[in-house]
Order: sequence, then structure tokens, then C-alpha cells
Amino acid sequence: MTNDPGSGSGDTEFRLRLSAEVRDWAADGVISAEQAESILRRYPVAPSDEAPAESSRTASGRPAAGSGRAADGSTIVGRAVSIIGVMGAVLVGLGIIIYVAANWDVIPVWARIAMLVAMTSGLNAAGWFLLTRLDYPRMGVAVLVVGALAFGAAIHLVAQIYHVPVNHPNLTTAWFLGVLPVAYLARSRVMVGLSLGLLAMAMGFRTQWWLQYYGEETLLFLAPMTLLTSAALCSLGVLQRRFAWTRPLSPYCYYPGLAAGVAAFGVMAVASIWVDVSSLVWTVVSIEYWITAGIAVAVVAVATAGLWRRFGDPDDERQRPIGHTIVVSTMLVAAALMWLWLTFPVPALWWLFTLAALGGVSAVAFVKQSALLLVCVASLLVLLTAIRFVSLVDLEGEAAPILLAAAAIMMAACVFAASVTSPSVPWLAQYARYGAASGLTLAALILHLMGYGSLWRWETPLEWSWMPVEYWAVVGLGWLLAGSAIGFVLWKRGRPGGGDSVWAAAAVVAMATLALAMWLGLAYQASSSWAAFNLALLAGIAALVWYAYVSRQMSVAYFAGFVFALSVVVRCFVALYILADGGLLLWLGPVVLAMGALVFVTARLRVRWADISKRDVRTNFRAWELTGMLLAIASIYAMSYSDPWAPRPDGNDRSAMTFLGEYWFLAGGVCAAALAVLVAIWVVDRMRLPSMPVPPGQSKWETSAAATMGILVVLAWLGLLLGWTWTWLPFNGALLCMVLGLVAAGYRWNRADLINLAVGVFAITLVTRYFEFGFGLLGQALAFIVAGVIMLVMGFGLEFLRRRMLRGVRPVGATA
Amino acid sequence: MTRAASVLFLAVVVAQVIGLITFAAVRQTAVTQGLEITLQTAPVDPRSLFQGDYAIVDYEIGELPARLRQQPAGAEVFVTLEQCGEVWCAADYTLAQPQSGEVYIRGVVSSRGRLDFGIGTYFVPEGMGNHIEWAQDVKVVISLGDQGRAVIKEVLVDGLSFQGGGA
Repeated sequence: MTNDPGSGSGDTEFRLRLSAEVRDWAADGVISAEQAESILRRYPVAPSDEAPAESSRTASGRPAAGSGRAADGSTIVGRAVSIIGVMGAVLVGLGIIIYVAANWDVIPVWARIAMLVAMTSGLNAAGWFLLTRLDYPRMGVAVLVVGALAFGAAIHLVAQIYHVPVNHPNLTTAWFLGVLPVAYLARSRVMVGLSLGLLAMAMGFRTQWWLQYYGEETLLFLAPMTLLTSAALCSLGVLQRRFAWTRPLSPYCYYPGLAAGVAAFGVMAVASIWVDVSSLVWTVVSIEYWITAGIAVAVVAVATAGLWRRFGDPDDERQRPIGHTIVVSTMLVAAALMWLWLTFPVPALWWLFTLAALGGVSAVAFVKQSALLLVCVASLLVLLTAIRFVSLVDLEGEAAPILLAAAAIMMAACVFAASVTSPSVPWLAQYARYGAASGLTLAALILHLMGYGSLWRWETPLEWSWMPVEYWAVVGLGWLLAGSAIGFVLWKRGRPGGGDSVWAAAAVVAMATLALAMWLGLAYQASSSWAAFNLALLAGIAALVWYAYVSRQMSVAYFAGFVFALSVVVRCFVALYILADGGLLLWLGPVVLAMGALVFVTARLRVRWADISKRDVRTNFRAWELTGMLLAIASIYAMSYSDPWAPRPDGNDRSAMTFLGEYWFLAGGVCAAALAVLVAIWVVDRMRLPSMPVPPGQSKWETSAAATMGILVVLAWLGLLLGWTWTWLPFNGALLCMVLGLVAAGYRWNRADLINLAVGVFAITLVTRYFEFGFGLLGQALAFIVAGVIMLVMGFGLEFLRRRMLRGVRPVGATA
Repeated sequence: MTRAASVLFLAVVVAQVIGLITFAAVRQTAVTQGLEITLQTAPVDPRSLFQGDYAIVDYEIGELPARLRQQPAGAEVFVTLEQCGEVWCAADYTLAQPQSGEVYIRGVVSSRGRLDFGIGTYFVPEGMGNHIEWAQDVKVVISLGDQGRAVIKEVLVDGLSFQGGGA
């Protein structure tokens, strides 16, 4: 039984909980004081991790005053210390690397090497001492990260002295091999992540020895290799879960492996559509490539076999690594099919390895009953089919966008139909909403695109022979799937939840008709079709709102509002983009700000009829308020830079903007809506109509926030129209005021989310402003180092603060 | 942390130190103990000269003779050298390793059809880049080991010396 306080978080949590429980048992007389003492001695808790909330109960059982807040504060500050410490370390490391790379020729060679060796070993030793002896685990890990980066710097600097090229494969390999053991000895998640990054870099450099030359077709050979490496990493990750020493680190090995595998598959699936590999010869890859592949396969085989040997309870079904086996076999099969495709580039093989890979993942989804996985598979399938269509359709043709749009709306109908069917499988039901929403959003965006008149004017008539058979085959298959899904839904009409099926069927039929309309519009060259699609979009949004009213689902109404808002912003963006080459995008700022204000006040109006004593209702409304505020702050931040406001040398006539009717119509509409809602709030409060009235302080806060946003919108437009180049200055002031206002409001009404938003905005602004300023003044390297040192000092400072907060609450002994 | 973990950590740090020192020592002996040879660089395209603060050079002896142009990328070619005035030039190109008495350098066919001897990059002190870029004549002094492997000792730009490793 190891007696050390491990740095794994699960272990510490257990000890904290145990010590709290033991104190309660002693207080209640379940065990004697001596027994409590001996238990606590057996499972000591490191003072750095002790949270006073658990130990603050007095003998009578009442929690000590103020301890809860100190405990929460301590955890938050603890996390902040880790983040700040590591960020500081990374910055210092980067700064050192950049600085020395440029400035080291003056010192004699032997002295340089001695300094490098001293720096590396010193940093590593210091980190280890901080971690183990001096009990500063977070700062210790941060210093070890600097040590790892310093080791890499040392290797590359010695290479530089002897003119060894920096892309020599053995350099990064040595770096990786030096960092990996430290990561596992310190059991630090950050360092494991760093090692995996170095592994990727090392493998990247080794490709010089794998591939005869770098070309589009040879680089595709890297995809199967990445898949094999990912399978090996996943296997190692799952194996690590079985050993207590490495268990906390196993996700940081497993998930990057998984991500790399998905990325490799994605790249191969897309690239193989575009790259011609017909002239490939197998001497393109070297022996080392095959040796590495063999090693990866061996690792997978050994690790998976090891997993199947009974670990733990042999009768426990859940311990059987079925899901994992499916995952790695899918990866191996996909890799093999990729090699096959690289030899015989037939389109059918592309469908084979795409469907095999996605089929494997679906199998895992069904084994683990993971709805999210199945949704990802479906989205990937849709995306890859879309990309394949783009390659099939001759993009030079004028009719191409309409053909693609028709296929896309068919895919949207499939997604929608599939999600409407899913409640019949219980563990999929939670995603039904999101699937339906994404299908409808896609359809709305397509209708939006089809509503542009310029798209429907073209010279040459459509020739149906343009489209290959594959296009019609996939389209037909899609219709079949959508139709059967809806048939299934209608069949279940009598059962619970079947009432909505008529609406669902109507939506799918509507999308079918629209796709048909697109094809017919093409065939008969109906150049005024665009008007119909605009009407269809508006009708769709209206239908959504009506459905929301009939079925009493607020979320559907919100969704309709979201689609509407998205359309407005996208329309403005397209209108501006068409008018100028993006130089007038600053005009988008006031629109987004007004949209933020509208979202915010709408949420506040609706709050007056919601029972916010219920937690989930409260969360819903806070999310809406935050979305509004985030939109507002983002636009204010974007408008606080001086560059976009500067007078343009090419003399884009600002008065031209006054003639852009569509922009003013939409922007004016949003502002008018926001104003109307604000007036409605005022009226409702005066007439005492709401069922849940808000306190007067809050209503003042709402009005002042909305008024500020309104003033800023007007200021922005005046600045744009009259050419005031100093307009960015008050926006900086506004940003500061909003941050302060958010903090004040958060403290006043106990809203942690407002404070988090304020601190987040402040931190991002500070960091970006520092780097813009620092790079100019200090030079790149010094800016990094100074920033890193500041953060390390802040880290130490926060850690002291945290310890002080913990010591302020008196821990209670184990005796009753 | 257990005592075993601390001991292992110490071992890793020592391994890192030994690794660094060995790396430096191996290159240092290659620089001081090899045969000193001066090679003429081929004219370099000034636009592709720099990546960061190191320069890429081609050598005159890197040009493959007609009979060996068909060699695939990655193939080994040995170039026997003889003295031609103040520089050394290529006497013969062979695929087999020459006898140990001969002066030869080992090269690998690169993807561009020339030979890469592993001495194609050298690091330049910051700010010195322009001198190299505008240079008329660049010669590289290398230290040739007995297996045909070379390291850069010194770089002569229009007669001016830029120090290499192993001061």
C-alpha cells in the first residue's frame, strides 16, 4: 500500500472526502476518537490540497462561518495558479529559445555547452524539488515544463554550434525521449501532452527518411501511418487505465491518439477525392516507414491482448475491452484499405474505406450507447458526401451552386428525418432536438443563398448529362432514407410523442418540394425563382413560430429567432462584401451590437414570466442574457481598434453606404425591435403585469445596459458616416465600463457567470493588448520572457494567497 | 513521490546531460580530428538563401555526372576528391565505398537530383546575413572523417572567415 499523497486528483478527492466523513463519524459517536485518529494517520491529506469546507464543521455540526466561500475561493484560485503558472512557464521557455537563438555567438563554445547543461539540469532539479520536497506541486510542474523546453533548446543550440540542420530527425527524437520519462515520473498531464506534441514533431521530421520526395501523392502515405500510430496510442492509453500509477494520465494519451486518428481519416477521405495517384510507384517509401508501421501494429496487438487477459473481475462484462477492440481494428482496416487505394485508385474503394471507417465507429456507438458518437458519424458522412459532390459537379458551370444546393437541402431533409425518428431509440432521444435544429438551420441557410437574384441569371442552358450517375444515385438513396424515416414516424402516430409527426412529415415534404423546385428552375431557366425561395424562408420561420405556439415549446421559438438573427447578419455581411472588398466590414459592428442588445432585452422581458426559482429555467435565461452580452462585447472589442477607423487611401466613398438600402432596412429593423422590447419592458413594469416582477435595482441595470449599447450603436454609425477617426477611443472606454459594470452586477446579485464573463473579457483584452504593445516595444523574445516572468510571479503570489485563505479557517480536530 | 521515483528522475536528468555532452563531443572530435578540406560552393540563388538565420549551400562537387543521373533519391554516392589549387574537386563518382586510403566524401541523392553531403546548412550570426547574400565567392572549409562524413569547420566569404564550431 503506497503511502504517498499522489498527485492524481481522484486519489486526493478520496482522501479529502474520507477525512471529512471520519470527522463526522467521530462527532456522531459512530467511532471513537482514537479510531478516528488512526484512520486519519493512515490516509494523510497533503496540506496543499486540504479544503476547509470539509474540515470546518464544529463539534455541533454547524459549518464555520465564511468557510464555504473560502473553500470555493481556494479551488478557483488553485486552478488559476495552475493555469497561470503553466502559461508563464511556456512563455518564458519560448522567450528563452527565441532570444538565445539569435544572440549567442560571442561566448566560447565550451562555455555555451556548459551553460546549456547547467540550465537544463538546474531547471529539472528545481522543478522536482518544488514538486516533491517543498510541496508546491503546481509551480513545480510549471518549472519542469520550462526544463523540458530548455532541454529542447539545449539540443538545438548544440546543433546550431556544429551546423547540424534543424530539421535533422534525430534532434526532435532525442527531445521526445528526454521529456517522456519526466512526464510520467512527475505524473503531469501538461507534460504528457507536451510529449505527445514532440512525438508528432519527431515523426514529422522523420518523414524525410520515409518518403523519397515530398509531393501530394507521397504525403498521402502519411495518413495510414498516422492511423496506426493513433491505434497504438489508444491501446497504450487504455492499458494505462489498468495501473494505478498511470491512471490519471491515460485520457491524455488516449484522446490525442483518437483525435489524430480521426484527423488522419478525415484528411485521407477528403484528399483522395482530389489527388491523382495513378502514377505512384512503391519505392516511394523506405524500409524505415515499414519498420515504424510494424512497431505500431505490434504495440496495438500486444496492448489489446494484454487488455483481454482478465484484469480485475473476470465475470464483469463491462471490463471486456470490446469497444476499444472495435476502435483499433477499424483503424487498422481503414489503414489497410488506404494502402490498397494508393495502389489501385478506384472510386469504389473510396466509398469502401469511408463506409468501413464510419461503420466501425457506429458499431462502437451502439456498444457504448453513445448518441454523440452516432451524431458525429452522421455529420461526417454528410460532410464527406457534400465534398464528394463538389468534386463531381463541374464548378466552372454556372448552374453548379444550384445543383449543390438542391443536393444539400435533400441532405438537410435526411438529417431532420433521422433525428425525428430517433426518440424511438431511448439513448438517442437527447440528440433529437439538436439533429432537427441542425437540419432546419442548414435548410434555412440554403434557402437564404437561393434567395439571391444574381444566382439565377446565367447564359447557357443546363445539360443534364453534366451530372454523373453517382450524384443521382446518392440523391436517390437520400430520398429513400428520408421517405422511410417519415413513413416510420407517421406509422407511430398513435403512440406517445407521435403528435408532432404530422409537422415533421410536412417539413420533409416542404424540403423535398423546394429541392424539386431548384431542379425544375434550372431545367426551365426560371430566372425569377429567387423570389420564391425568399418567401419560402420567411414562411418557414413563421411556421416554426406557429409550431412553437401550438406545442408550447419556448425553445422552438428561440430557435426560430436564432435562424432569423443569423439570416439578418449573414445578409448584411453579404451585402457589404458585394459592395466593397471587405473594407467596409466595420459596418457590421453596429449591427452585431444592436443584435446583442436585442437578444439581451428579449431575455429580460421574458424573465418576467418565468419561474426562475427553478435551476434549469434560470440557466436557460442566463445563457440568453450572456449570449446577448457576448455579442455586444465582441463587437465593441472589434470596434476598439484604431486601424479600421483610419481614413482609407483608396477613398471608399462613405456616402455610398447611404444608398445600400438592404443594409439600412435590416439594421434599422433590429434597432427598432430592440427599442420596442425595451419600451415593452417599461410598460409591463409600470402596469405591474409580470407574474415574476424583478427587483427595481435589476430593472435599472437592464435599462442602463441597453441604453449604453444603444448610445454606442448611434456613435458607431455617426463615426462611420461622418468619418470620425477617433471613434475607437470611446469604445475602449466603453469596454472598460462594461467590464466594471458586469463585476458590480455580479457581486450585487450573486451571479458568478457575470463575474466570469467580466474576468474572461478583461484577461483576453489584457493579453492581446500586451502582445500588440510588447512586441513593438520590447521585441519578440523579450516580450515573451517578460510576460512569462509576470505570470510566474502572479502564480506564486496567488498560491500564497490561497494558502492564507485556507489557514484563515480553523481546522477542527478529530475528537468529538 | 517515492524515493524510487526520485532516483529514476535523477537518472533521467543525468541521461539528458550525458546525451548533450556526447552530442557535442562527437561533433567536436569530428571537427578537430578530420582532414581539413576546402570546397567551392556552387552559385546560390540569393532569394532562397535564407530561412531564418541559417544559409543553404550547394557544392560544385554535388553535381552528378551523366551516367549517375538516373539514381533514385536516397541512393548513396561516394565522391573521391583531389586537390585542384586551393580547393578540392571531384576526381570520381562511385556507388561503392572506395578504399580506405583514398580521400572521399559520402553523399546522398536529394530529390532535386544533386548530392547532399550533410553540410548544406550553416548558421550565421544575426546581422551578418547581408554579407553572405551579397558575396561573390563562398568557400566552405570542412573536416572530413575517415568514413566519408564531413562537418563544417569554417566558412570563407570573399576571404573573410565566419567561425564554425569547435573554437
